[in-house]
Amino acid sequence: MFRKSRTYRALVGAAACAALAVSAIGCSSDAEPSGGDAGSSSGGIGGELTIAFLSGDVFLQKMIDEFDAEYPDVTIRDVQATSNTYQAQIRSQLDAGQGPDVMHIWTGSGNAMAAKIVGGAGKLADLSDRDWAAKMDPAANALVALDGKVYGHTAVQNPYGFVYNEALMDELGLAVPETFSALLDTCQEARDKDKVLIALGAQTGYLAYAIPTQLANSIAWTKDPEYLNKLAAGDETWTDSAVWKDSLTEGLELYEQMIDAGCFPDNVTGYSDDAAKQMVAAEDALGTYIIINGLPTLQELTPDTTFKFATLPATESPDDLVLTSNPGSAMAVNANSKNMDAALAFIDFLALPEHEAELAEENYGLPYTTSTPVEFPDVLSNVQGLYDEGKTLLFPTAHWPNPEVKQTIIAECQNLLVGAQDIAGVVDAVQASFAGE
Amino acid sequence: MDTLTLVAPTPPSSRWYRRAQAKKRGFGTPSWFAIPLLAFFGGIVAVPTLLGVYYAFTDWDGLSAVPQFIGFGNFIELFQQPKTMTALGNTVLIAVCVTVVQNGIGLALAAGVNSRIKSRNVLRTLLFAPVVMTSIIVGYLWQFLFVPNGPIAQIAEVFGIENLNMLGNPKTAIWGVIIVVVWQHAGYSMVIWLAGMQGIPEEITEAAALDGAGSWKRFVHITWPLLRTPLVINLTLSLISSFKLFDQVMATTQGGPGYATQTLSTLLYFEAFQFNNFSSGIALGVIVFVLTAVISFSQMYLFRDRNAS
Repeated sequence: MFRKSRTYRALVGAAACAALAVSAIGCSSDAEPSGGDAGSSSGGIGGELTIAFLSGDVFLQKMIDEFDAEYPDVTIRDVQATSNTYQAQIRSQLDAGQGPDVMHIWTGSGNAMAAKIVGGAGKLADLSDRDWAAKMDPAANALVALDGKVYGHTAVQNPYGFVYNEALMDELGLAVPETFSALLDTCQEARDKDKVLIALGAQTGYLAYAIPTQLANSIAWTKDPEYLNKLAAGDETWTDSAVWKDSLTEGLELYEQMIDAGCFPDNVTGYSDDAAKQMVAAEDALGTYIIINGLPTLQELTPDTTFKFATLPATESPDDLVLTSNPGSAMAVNANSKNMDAALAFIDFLALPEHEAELAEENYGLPYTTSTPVEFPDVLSNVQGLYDEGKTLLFPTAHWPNPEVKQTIIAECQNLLVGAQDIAGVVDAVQASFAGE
Repeated sequence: MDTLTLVAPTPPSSRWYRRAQAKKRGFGTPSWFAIPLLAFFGGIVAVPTLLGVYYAFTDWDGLSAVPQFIGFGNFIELFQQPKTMTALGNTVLIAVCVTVVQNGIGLALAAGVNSRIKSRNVLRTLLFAPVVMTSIIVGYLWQFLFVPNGPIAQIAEVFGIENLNMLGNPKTAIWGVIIVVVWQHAGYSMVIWLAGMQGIPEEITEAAALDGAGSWKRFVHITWPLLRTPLVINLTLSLISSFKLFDQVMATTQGGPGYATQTLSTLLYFEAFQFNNFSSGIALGVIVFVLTAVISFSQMYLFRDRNAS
């Protein structure tokens, strides 16, 4: 009898604990951002909508606020993260069949959250039936489409190049170089005046390979203006493209010449992206190499400085100058979204022409085609001529076949900078990574 | 006449007796309350771990619905890659150096704050403060300190070391990471050593002092032999945390320059979350787990109390 009553009390206690645990889990799941409930309002767009994007995206936050005002029945939850955690976080959620309804993705196939990678795995909704999809620029379409399906909306590209302190350049009597030899001379002149021309944050991975890749890209364009389109279309492979391989070799040789000419700080691999910007703010360097939408961060450090943008020359002819642009970000819809109506409404909202123009203005972006009207920002005045002539070339990473290429070229370029690798070794390693070796 | 057979009572220490007593007690009340926690642990830890181990033997890329079993393919491929061996070597180097240096410094600090100096409580707090800082913040902090021509480089110049590029030079970058980790966690080791020291009866050390033993001899012959338990704890914890090192590396060097500071954990991150090779990433996790388990159990075996009956 005693044992029976003790066991009975134990069972009741355990059941109470289990009930408490289940209710706690139920409460916590209600607090977690979910895919949202579909259509909780009567008629129209409503319910819960989860939107994930990179921290500091001021434009997108503004769009969310405006969408919220236009669709008051939609409850928006935003999930923000820095780029180095965003990919892992959202990718893991998508792998688990969860994830936000609308999310920032990268274009092309160069990283784990790239449109073609995630879309190709069926995790993103096909947006090819949306009105704006048919009007997308072919270059933009190529970055977010796979096998006839459109997986994201992207509208602008962001110039990638040398951002410099205009007043300091004038003060030192330095001009923006239009040939490679002039670039080397300018580097030397800056050094003679105890300044560095380009504060390169090579400790931050993508900056270690940005310049040689841009130089290679420009050289390849001079050899064959369609080289990148051929690679993007699959007419050639990166492994077999002699134009690319030769251009990469030449680009790395030019990079070494820049290192020897003192274009970058000594011990360049010891400086991160932030440290490089600090050098510019302190006027120890004339400029830095960034994607133009990173300018606001630099401007915050030195609000009174006027910055201008220039592209780096790769040849001895000013006619070979080409504006390198990084493919802009894209927004996509989760294929498993629980509030597809609201998600599609948000994407359509972003794709409105007035909002695309606003995005271009806020992020210093340029539409993919010159026929789309754009108010050219003053910081880009040096390259407006190139853009108007159609001399714009996308940075090639979006078209690289797998994410390992980027990591390989980062590591090998860092080794080149510290003298632990030669050019042939870098090229061989990069070419092998294209094949997934 | 019946023969009375005397049966000696079962000794209380026998295994049969203990099992019988346990059976008599039954599945007691406290055990029932553990069920929800065990279920939670099983669902959140055990099942995903076992599932993860399974995925290490497949070609799962994180997106495919049905992974294909490939046996030891991931492990063979990983060990054939130079970067894996580099990461393994870096991890072992970091583990050994951090364990020795961190515990050595922690021991010295504990000996210092265990003395009767007036500021010992403040010192204990200050020395432990880095431990509670977020590892990523510590990494970013030291990244700025190690900038060429930065504070550390300028101090190094005073000692004749010109042009120090601690985190940007592949020969010195890993030592920079070790410095960061030791700086952050020496206080943690100190606390454990201190707890052990405070458990040593004062009469023993006082008696030794009365017999003329100096502080060094007291430490070597009395204090140190009685610190076996904190020694085991510190060695185990510092080795395990060193093998899992990730935050400080990502915040300072991201595994660079080149692959100079790549560890097994950072390589796991790149394989799984940058390259979509989830199965390779999980295989690296299994390797880290096996290494950590081997080291931990070996340590416990070596340091077991041989006098216990």
